[in-house]
Amino acid sequence: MTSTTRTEHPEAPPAASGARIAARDGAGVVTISDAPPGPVALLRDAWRERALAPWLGARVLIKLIWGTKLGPAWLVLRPLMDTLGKALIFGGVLQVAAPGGMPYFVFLLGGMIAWRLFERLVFYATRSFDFYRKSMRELDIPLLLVPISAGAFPLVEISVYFAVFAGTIAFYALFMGEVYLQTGPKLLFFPVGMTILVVAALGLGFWTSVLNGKARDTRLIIRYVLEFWLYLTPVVYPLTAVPPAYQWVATINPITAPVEMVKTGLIGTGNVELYPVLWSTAFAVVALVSGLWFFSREAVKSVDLHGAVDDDEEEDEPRGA
Amino acid sequence: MGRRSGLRRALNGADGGGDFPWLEWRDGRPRRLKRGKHYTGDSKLVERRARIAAEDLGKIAVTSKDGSGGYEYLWIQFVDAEVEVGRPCPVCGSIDLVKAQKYFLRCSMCGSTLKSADGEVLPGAYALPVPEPTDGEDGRSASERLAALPSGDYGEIVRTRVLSASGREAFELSAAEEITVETTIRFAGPVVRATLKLWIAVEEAGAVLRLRCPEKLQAEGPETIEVAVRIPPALLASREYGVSVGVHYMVDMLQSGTERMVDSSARFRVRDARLPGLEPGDESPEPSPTFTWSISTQAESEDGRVAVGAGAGSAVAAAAAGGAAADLDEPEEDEEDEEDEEDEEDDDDRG
Repeated sequence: MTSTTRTEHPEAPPAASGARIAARDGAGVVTISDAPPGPVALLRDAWRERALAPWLGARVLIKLIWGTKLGPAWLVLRPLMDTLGKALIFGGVLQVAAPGGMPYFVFLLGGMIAWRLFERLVFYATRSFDFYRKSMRELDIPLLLVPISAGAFPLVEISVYFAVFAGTIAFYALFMGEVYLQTGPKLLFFPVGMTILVVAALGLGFWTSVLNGKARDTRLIIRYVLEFWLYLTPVVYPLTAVPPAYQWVATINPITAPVEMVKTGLIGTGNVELYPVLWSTAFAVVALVSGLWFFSREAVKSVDLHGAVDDDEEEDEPRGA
Repeated sequence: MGRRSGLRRALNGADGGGDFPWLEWRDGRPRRLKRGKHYTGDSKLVERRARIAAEDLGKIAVTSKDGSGGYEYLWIQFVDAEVEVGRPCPVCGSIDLVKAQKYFLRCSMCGSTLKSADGEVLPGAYALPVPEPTDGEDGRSASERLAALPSGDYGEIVRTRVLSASGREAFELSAAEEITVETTIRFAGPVVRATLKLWIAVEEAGAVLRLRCPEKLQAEGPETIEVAVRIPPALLASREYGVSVGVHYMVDMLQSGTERMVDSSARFRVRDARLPGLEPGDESPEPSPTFTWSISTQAESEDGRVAVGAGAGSAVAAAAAGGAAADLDEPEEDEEDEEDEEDEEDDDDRG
């Protein structure tokens, strides 16, 4: 009988150039390295298997709504309750005024579409390795597709926000004779703002998905950070309502500019300026590039730690935030 | 549905599910199959077909079931090989592997994707076992002798024949008669362990019968080994079949780099025949799922002459279908337990 003994190897072994063949060397040492594949290799693998992304996305979608009593109704209920609740508190109780005499509910929806896209993408990317634990145990899935595919649920949610927004706009147009939808060239701000948000969210998501494998606190911290970040961003209040002493907070917040761009593009109430937009774009690009770099270095090591978590700690969506 | 009809159905590939372009799946990409759309039968059968197809293509099929949402999906991926953690790449023998994921490795030399046979892959250095010394005549170890030979020269399948019940070589046989598949293997030197596998396949449905010789073959020197398996009557339906034989052998106990696979094939046709003693309309008798194996060894002397029966003599082994030595597609029992296990696993993922 033959036996294999394992000894710890403190450092990564030589790469492909030093590859040896056991049959030629006779007895020797088999080395298994966890050397990072590099961002280019990750991107190439993900691109090669891009057709998998919709199926993996659907898997998360089904998984999160299956097994709940209300099932797919959650997809509609949560955005509705979220918006109605905030509209009641900020628009009704706190009397936050929307600019230009616009109904607060319309103003809020414009900002929520932008914010929720960013926030949900970051949050679901953070949890992505947990969602695909079983798949990754049984199949060789490109690692980069994991946080990307987890974005399926946020995209569906955003489409619900859009549907509510469209219904609200139609209601005011038909019954009040007021058209709040932006139709001019400013409409172009909308896709640009959404793109910046997606890039920034993916970049941050690459970081947090790996960090969540290293420390389970990450998802809890992210939840609170995002909640706090929402109130630092002019979503539930207009940028003009921020006192001058606190304007700097809005200026350095890289999400302010794209949110303002989306609001301007949709309902014409945002305040778009060149330098904040450049700052936000730079932030998004740096987040994406550094996120890819970090992900490529640490993701392989991180997937080990994800498996160490008990399954009963599964995601509590859609009850969670 | 009776066992016999289930067996027939499996052998004929008429399980209600279509066939898949297995050749394309060699690219290693995961495929998602939806029950009701891509297949209609039991997903276990599709999994088994995938495993057989992968094996025929020199790959390993990995599968994952996804049963949430009221739908049933089966993911299938062909990877290059399975490897015990700490062993060299089974494809090229490289001892430098890279962890790709928790349960997958990539060979840094040939780029093969390898599935871990031992669960989680832990990075590190693994000592290979020291090869046991062999008594080579010229002072070289068995692995050195093998390495010096071109592939296929050390072990060779001399011929594979299909014999009728009368013992004659035949290309067309009656369904009512016993069929014997005989294969002759020649080893040029000592072999510590060899496994013989035999696949009987129909062209459009892949392998329908997989058999493995229950005895490990051995050769003490240059030897010719004849292995025959008798397939009981009424088991194979009327159609054309291909036989593939493979032998997997080691020349010393150090497995790495010394395993070679050689193969051979033959074709035959089974024609329909009413079984004796049956009236028209009667159900055919239950085929006996017993395969009888016989092995005879002929050692070669140094001058190349053959000494029949010298060294190992002959052995006869019988194995039952579904056992370790024979695998019929779609055995109808013992499926539920496996299904239950999978259900439990699926529950883990419910969020």
